[in-house]
Amino acid sequence: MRSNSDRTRSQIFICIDRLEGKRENHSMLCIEAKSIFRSYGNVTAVDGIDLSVESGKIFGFLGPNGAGKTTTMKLLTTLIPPSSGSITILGIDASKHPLDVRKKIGVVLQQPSYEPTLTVEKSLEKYGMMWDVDTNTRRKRVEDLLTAFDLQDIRKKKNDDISIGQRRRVQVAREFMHDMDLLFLDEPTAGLDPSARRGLLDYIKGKVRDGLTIFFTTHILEEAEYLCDEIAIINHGKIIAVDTPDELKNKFGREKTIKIRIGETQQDLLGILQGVGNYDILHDEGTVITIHSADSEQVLVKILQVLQSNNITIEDLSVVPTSLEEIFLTVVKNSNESNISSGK
Amino acid sequence: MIGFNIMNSTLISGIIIWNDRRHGMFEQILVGPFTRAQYILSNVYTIGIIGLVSAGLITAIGYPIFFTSVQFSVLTIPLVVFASMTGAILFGSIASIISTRLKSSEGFNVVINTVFLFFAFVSTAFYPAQGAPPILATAFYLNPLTYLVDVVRAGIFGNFTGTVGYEMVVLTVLAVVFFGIATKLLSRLEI
Repeated sequence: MRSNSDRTRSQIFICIDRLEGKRENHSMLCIEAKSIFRSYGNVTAVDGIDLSVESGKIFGFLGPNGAGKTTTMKLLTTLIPPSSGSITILGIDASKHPLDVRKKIGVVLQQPSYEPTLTVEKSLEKYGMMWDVDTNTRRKRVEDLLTAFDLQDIRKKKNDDISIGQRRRVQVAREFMHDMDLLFLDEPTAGLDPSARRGLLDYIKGKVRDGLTIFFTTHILEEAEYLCDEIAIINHGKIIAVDTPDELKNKFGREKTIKIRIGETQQDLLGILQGVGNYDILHDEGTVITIHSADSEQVLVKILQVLQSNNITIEDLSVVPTSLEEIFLTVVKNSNESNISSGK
Repeated sequence: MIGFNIMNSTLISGIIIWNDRRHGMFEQILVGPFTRAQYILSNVYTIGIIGLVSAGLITAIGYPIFFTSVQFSVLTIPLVVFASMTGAILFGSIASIISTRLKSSEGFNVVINTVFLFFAFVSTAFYPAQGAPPILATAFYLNPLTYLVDVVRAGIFGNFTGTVGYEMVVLTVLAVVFFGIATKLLSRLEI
């Protein structure tokens, strides 16, 4: 028979093992895709992309319409097989064991999905049944989600009788009925009002704090900036940039916009400002000067000196850092130009 | 009537797939913890249950009319259940195949009605093969509904023969083959 001290010692070892396992899990890759291609006839939708997403992170996937976001999502969720390349989700080979992958992930697809004749609460309830969630857990989760997603008032309404935004909320809420390690969200905030959108993003952040990993596509770049730990930009089926939002800004967004409003209209202002140097200075007859520069600090000092020496008063001055949206547009524009020049 | 009703209720299988595709639930279910074969089977189970219930109701309502010729035996329930399940799988798979091949719900309705009306009237469901023109009588036996009806009749009227046993084998083989084709086509369906 085992003594009490043996039992206690083995329990301590189990706890240590679990903790170590948790640490290992935390640093492991949730998604690992290597050279994945997917074509439809002659059209290549996904063109040899590589992806690595760490556990416990929110990975943003951005791109213009038709860039290959949704196809990538379908590949990663095993909805369609890749033409070539390998996909590993949560350590499972997605091509060989798609069902095992699907048992561990949650997916909110871009297109609406609902049972028109079910009420909101029945939709959640039935979805939980589909995932074999036990009755007590199901009931509790239904109540929690109805509250968290502000659906209590419409819980008895049929899906056919609620608005598109409400239906979207039900669709996203429904996915949290079951346990999962990785959640794919394809433009989950489409059709939501700003308050519902913020509520959803905060809810997602809370779930990530509890250990969930999120793969998130969106068109709304403020959302990506607010939510994501890492962002990939896809265009023409290729990943053209991957990094943290801050690093993307450092790489592609060093240029800042300086706006200066002067006291009164100056006739030869551009001539006066030529002394500042070879910068992109815009001034059109009015009282606002706009300068785009990667050396904003130096330009600002020089311009202030020039304005002061010419006795031009400054009414207002602002330096605007580049937004993720501008970076996105720059990166996509560069990618399109390089595609055109390479004849693709 | 029971056999015809089993076949007719399998129309729902195709309609379920159409509705799921229309409301986005088709893809949502396919990214869930299920295989495509399980998806078709779940539809078939649903219609199998509907078929069984309707078979029970028809038997109960029709019993006073044909009670003199009815010969219930130990084989009655197994044979009717067998017919319901294999019929549901077979005709449910055919409806699923049609629904995966057609791109519009209108087209689906036209084709499924044509096919199922053909099955219904070129069979022994409403009139016997005896006395029918030879070509029609041959066509009856190329139609799986004829076998389904024969198995149900054997169960209710107690005339189980070797031919019925052979028909059961044919029904089973057809159900397996069509289920396999339906699953394959559903797997290849562009999403």
